[in-house]
Amino acid sequence: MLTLDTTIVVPDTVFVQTVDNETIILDSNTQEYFALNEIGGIFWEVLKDTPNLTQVYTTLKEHFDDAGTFQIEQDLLEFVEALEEKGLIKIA
Amino acid sequence: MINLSNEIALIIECCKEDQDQNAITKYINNISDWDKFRKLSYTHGVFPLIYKTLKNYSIQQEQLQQLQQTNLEIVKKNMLLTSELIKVMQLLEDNGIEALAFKGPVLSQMAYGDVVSRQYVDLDILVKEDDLKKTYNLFLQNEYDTKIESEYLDNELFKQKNSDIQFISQKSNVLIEVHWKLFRSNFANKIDLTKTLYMSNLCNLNGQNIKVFSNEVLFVYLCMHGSKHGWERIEWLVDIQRFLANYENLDWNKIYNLAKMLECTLMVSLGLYLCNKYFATDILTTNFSIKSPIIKKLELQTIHYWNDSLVKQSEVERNYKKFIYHYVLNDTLYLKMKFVFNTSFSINNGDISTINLPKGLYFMYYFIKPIRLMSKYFSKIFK
Repeated sequence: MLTLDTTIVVPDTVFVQTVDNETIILDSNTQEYFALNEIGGIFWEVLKDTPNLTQVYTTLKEHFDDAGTFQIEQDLLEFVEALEEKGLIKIA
Repeated sequence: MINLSNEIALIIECCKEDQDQNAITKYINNISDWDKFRKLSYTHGVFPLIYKTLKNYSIQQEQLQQLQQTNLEIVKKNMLLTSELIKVMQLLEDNGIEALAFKGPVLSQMAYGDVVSRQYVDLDILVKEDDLKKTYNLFLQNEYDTKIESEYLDNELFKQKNSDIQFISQKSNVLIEVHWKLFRSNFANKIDLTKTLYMSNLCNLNGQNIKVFSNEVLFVYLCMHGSKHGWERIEWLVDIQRFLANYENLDWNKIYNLAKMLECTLMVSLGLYLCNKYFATDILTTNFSIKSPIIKKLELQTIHYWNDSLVKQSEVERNYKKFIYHYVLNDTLYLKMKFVFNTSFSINNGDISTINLPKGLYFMYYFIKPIRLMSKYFSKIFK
């Protein structure tokens, strides 16, 4: 079960580029491409350099200071779950 | 004096770091055929830069969407090529094969600061000639296909006259050129690759270090490569322009001595001259002379190439123009004569690809050559 105590890692087989406010992710193992919208891109940008989800949450809370804290936590955990399902991150 | 076409002028302006917005607006307003312009931008290998600039200007929504779509395809392809390069360089390293990458993603990263601003369609890897057979077998074992049969690797003439073997990944469909030399022997044969391999830097791609040429070797190589192709793609000049902007502390004495040793000072001078003229690259610190009338003559031919980029030419006509361009490019009369002899009479890849002869029968290639050339060119003329 994912919680804010979870630590994640981005495999080195995942490649990311941002074009026109869209984040394109390539899983080079499956050669599948994924696209994230602007908000997803911000989540990814923080997530890729911060393995600890509590830290990710804190940074995002500062970034989206007008959003409710519960909403950010829920969105973050759903986002991480979706990335893990697609094999774009691993739970450490 | 030949003027640049409106489309070429727009492409050049879009590729500059310091752009003239009024000029761009004027050129945009004069574009009558956007399909042709899109093709031209792609042909010149600078599509990402064109898109990055034009999206900030007022152009029709439909045109912008098409530019955006093509740019996205290039981004995706470049990401795939980058991932494949990292994979294949790791494979070579794990198997004790020393290799370095050039052009493609590493040049994009070094000159443009990312892997998506430059357009490329394949990967170029340099290995030592002694490791060629091992590399060949390793690629076949790892699901890469090639049209070159393994018997050719024992043909000394094949290795002497050729410079690379192409492989295609069965999984990703990426084309990889494995080089043991940088150029075919009739163009430039003085680069000592064993030494070149040791004069290397590292380039970081997605957290992985990839071995690349030293900056000075890379710069000379880029000038030779662009000159070899008559600078017919604007991309090759932009590569140099961006590379020079990123690496201001190049050792110009080293570059000059290297160019002298490789007998390619004219090629380097030409690259610098064109960069200076069309992209305002500062070349005051270099020791190369750009005042030669030969350079102006070559520039005219390059502009012809640019203005006629989408004009279909016969192979005979294209080869003749390239032959003259290469002839003029040679630094001395001796080199010019040698070039003419090597191109006209020496055995080349086309002859060797016709049939793989054992060493004792290499002389037969001299009989095969005129027959092959006659059948090739006469059949084309009469078609």
